[in-house]
Amino acid sequence: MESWGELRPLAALASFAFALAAAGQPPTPQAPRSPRAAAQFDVTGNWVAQITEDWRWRMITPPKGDYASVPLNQAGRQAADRWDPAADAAAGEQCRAFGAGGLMRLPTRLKIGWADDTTLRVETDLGQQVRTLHFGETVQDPGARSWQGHSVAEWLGVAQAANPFGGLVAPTQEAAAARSGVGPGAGGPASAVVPVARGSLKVMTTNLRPGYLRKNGVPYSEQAIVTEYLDRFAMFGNDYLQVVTVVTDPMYLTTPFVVSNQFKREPDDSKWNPTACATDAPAGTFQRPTF
Amino acid sequence: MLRARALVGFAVACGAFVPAVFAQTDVAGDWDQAGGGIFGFQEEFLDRGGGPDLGDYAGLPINDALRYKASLYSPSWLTVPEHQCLPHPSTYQYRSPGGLSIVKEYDSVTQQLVAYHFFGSYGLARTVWMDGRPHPPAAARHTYEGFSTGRWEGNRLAVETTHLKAGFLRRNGIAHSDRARMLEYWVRHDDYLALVTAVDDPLYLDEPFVRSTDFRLDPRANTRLAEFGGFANGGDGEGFGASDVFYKCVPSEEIAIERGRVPSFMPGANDSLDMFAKRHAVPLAAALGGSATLYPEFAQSLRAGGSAAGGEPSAARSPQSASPSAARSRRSPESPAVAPSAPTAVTSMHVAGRVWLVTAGDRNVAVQVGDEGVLIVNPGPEALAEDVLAKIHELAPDKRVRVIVMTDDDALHIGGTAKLAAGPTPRAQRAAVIAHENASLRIAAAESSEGHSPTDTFFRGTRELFFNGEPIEIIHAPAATSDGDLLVFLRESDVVVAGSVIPDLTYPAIRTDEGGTVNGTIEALNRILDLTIAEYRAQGGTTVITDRGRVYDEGDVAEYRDMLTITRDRVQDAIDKGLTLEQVKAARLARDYDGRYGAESGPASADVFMTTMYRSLAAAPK
Repeated sequence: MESWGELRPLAALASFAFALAAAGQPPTPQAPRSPRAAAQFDVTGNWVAQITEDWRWRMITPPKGDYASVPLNQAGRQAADRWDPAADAAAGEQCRAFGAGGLMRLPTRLKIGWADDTTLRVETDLGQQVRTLHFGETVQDPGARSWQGHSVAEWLGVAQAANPFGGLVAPTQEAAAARSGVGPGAGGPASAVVPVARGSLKVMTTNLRPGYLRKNGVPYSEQAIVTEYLDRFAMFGNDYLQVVTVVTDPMYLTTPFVVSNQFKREPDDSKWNPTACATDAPAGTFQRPTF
Repeated sequence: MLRARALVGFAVACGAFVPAVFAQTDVAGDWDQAGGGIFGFQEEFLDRGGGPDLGDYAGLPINDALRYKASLYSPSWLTVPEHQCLPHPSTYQYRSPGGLSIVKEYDSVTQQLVAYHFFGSYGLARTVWMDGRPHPPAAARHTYEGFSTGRWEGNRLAVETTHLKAGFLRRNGIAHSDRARMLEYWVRHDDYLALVTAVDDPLYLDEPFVRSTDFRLDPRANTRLAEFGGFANGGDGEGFGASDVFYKCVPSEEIAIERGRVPSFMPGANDSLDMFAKRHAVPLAAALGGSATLYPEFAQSLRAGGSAAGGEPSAARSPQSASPSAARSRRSPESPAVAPSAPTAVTSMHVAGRVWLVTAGDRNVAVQVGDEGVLIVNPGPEALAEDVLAKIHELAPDKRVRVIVMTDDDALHIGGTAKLAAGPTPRAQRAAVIAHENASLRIAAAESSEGHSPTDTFFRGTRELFFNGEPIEIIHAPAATSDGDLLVFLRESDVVVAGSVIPDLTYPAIRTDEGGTVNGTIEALNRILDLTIAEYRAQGGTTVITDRGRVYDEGDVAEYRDMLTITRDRVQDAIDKGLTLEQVKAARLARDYDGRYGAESGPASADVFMTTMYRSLAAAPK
C-alpha cells in the first residue's frame, strides 16, 4: 500500500485539476438556458448578400455545363449537362435553385428572427423561402422532403474560463488585450474591431428535395447533407454575417463542396423585395477555359 | 488503491475542464485548400487558378480611380525587373495555391504565446504578433505582408494589418494602395478553417472589400509547401517541385525591355477591356464593377435588362473618360492604426547601419552617426532646428555635427543649416556644408541665406566622401526637380537619401524655371533603382529615405517611378495626338494617382503638376 508521501504529488495534481475545472464552472448550479438566451451572438435582423466572389455564377445564370470548381462526379456532370430550365418551369420546380444547398449563395436579402426560444426563422426575399432552424432537437419526424429540408442548429462556443497554459483560449488574451489596450487598432484611436460574437452557429440540414448548387442546374441530390457555420464580424464600422456552407452528397459530389458567403447588416427591411422562384435562361454559351 | 483513486480524480477533473475550453478553437496546424490539394479551389476558380480576364471587376467595390488604373494595366508590367519577383501581398496571398501551415511561437521563458507564423499558400512567410506590441510608426517601411497584430475574440482570431505596400487584390490590375488596411478573422469550425478578410482603401475602394477563403485540416498539407519548393528545396527537376522559384526569386532578362520602361495601355487603347464581358455575355458596365454590382438590385437589373446594368458603360462608368465622379477619393480611413505625425513633431527612428531618420514636422532629416561625429542630409526647416539638434544629441551624445549635405536649395530642407552647422562655441569650427554648385548659387542669391551657404560645392557628377568608416557617394541628378538635385548613397549602411526626387506624400515639385524636367526626374528615380538591391521578393534590402513621408525600399521606389513614368507616357501620348494643355487637364490623365499624390495646393497639386508635366514634355527635345 502506498504511503501518503508517495501519493502527495498525485493528490496535488488532482486538486489542481479540480480547481481548474471549478474555475471554468458557474459558482452555483443554474437552470439550463434556452438557445435564445445562450446565443453566442445576435444573428437576428436584416442582412443583404454581398456578391464579391464567383460573381458570374451567382449574379447571372451561367451557361449549361459551366460547373467549374464544383467537385461533381460523373453522375453529377451528366445531371448538370441535362439541365433544362424550361422543363423545370413546366414541372413546377422553379425553386430547385433556391433550396438550402444553394440558397445562401444567391443575391438575396435575409430576415432572421426567433420564432420562439428554440427556433430561428430565416426568410429570403429572393425566392421567398423560409428556413426553420431547430435547436436541441433529438428525434422528430421531419415530414416530407422539402427545398429547405430539416435543419438542426447548435451554438459552438468557448468556455468562459481562463486558460492557465496561455495561448489557446480566447478569453485570456482578450482580457489581456483589453487591459493593455493593445491588439488591433493599437497605436491609434479606438480599434476598428468591435467584438460582436464569441462563438459560431452550426446548422445541419437533411431531408432535402433535390436541388441546384448553381442556377444552371449543377445538382445536389436528396442524399445531400448541408452543414453551415454562421459567424458575425464587425469590420470597419460594418456588421457582417458570414455563412460557410459545406455540402456533402454521395450521389453527385466526389468531395464536400465548401463555399462561404457574406451578408452585410441593413438597418431595416426597406429594401426587402419579395420575388418568386424563377428559372432564368443562361447568359451566353459556356466556353471551357483553355489553360 | 489511493493512487488509483487519485488518478481517477485527476482524469475526471481534466475531462470536465478540457472539452469545453479546448474544443477545436485554435487555428494552428496544416491546412489544405477546401477542395483538397494545391489547386482545390471551390470559389473564384479562374481568379485563383489560371488568372482572371482583363476587365473582370464585377463584384468589386472599386471607385472610378481604380477602374481607370486597372483598365490601363498591361500584364507586360510584370516583365519590368523590379516587378518580376513581386510576391502576393497578405491581402491576396491566401487566395493562392498550395498548403498553409500555421505555427505558434512561444516565449521560451514565460511560455506565453508570442506570435502565429503563417507559411505557404504561395505567399511570403508572415507573422501575426500576439504579444501586444504596437504597430510601427507611420514613417516605417511598408511590406507586402504588412505588419499584423492579433487577438482572440471568442473562438476567432482577429488580426489587423497596417504598413502594406500597394499590391494586387486581383491579378488583372485591381490593386490596393499603400494606404490600405486589412482586418481578418480566422475561425475554425470542426475541421474547416475560414478566413474572412476586409480590405479598406480610402483611395481606391468605395467600401471595404470583404471576401472569404476556406481551408480544411490535412496533416499532409505541409508537404504542399515542399511541392512549391518552399522548404525542401527538392523536387525532381520537373513541375512544382523543381526549384525555389515560388519562394526565392531573382529577376532575369527574359525579354528585351529597355531600362526604365513601364508597360501600360494608353487611355482608350486597351482592346481587351471587354474580354470578361464578352466571354460571359454581361454588359461591359457590369463587368467593370463598383459597389452597385455587389448587391441584389444589380442582379435584378441584369435580369430585367434594365438601365442600372446598362448595355455599355455610361460616361460616369467608362474608365477611359474623365468624369466628375472620378474626383479624387479621399475617404478618411476609420480608426487609423498609425496616427500621422504632428506638423511640428520631431521624432527619430533607426533606419539601417549608422543611419537614423529624424522627422522634422513632415520633413525627413537623415542622420549618420559614428566615431567621427554626425553627418546630416537636409537639416530641415529653420523653425524646428533646435528640436532637431536636441534629437541628434539624444542619438549621438557628445558628438558634433561635422558634415551637412543639402540635396537641393529648398528652404524646408536647408533652413536649419545655420543652427546645425554651428559649433558648440562661437569659435569652434563649423560643419562642412556640401551642395551642388547650381543649388549653392541660388542659396547665395536668396535674401535669407546667412549661415546657410554651402562651404563645399561641386560641378561634376559625383562627390565622394569617407566618413564614420563609411564610403558615401553624393550623386548629382541633373535636370531632376531642379538643376541642383543630389542623391546621397551611404554604401555600408545601404541607405539612399532621395531628397526632392521622392517626396512620397505628393507628386514631385518640378521647378522647370530652375532647370527641372520630368524626364530628368524619372531618370533620377531610375538612378536610385540602379543603387538599390531588394533583399527578398522585391522588398527589403537598400533603404531609401524620402523627402517626406515613410521610408522606401526598391519596391516603393519602383512604384513611385511607375507612377511618374506612366503619367509621363500618357501625357506624351496626348501631346503627340495634338491635345492642348486644357484638353489634357480635362481628360484627367492621372486621376488614378491624384488621390495618392496630389497635394492640396502648390506645385505638387494635381492641377499644377499636370501643367508642369505638359510644359516640360512639350519643351523636351524629340
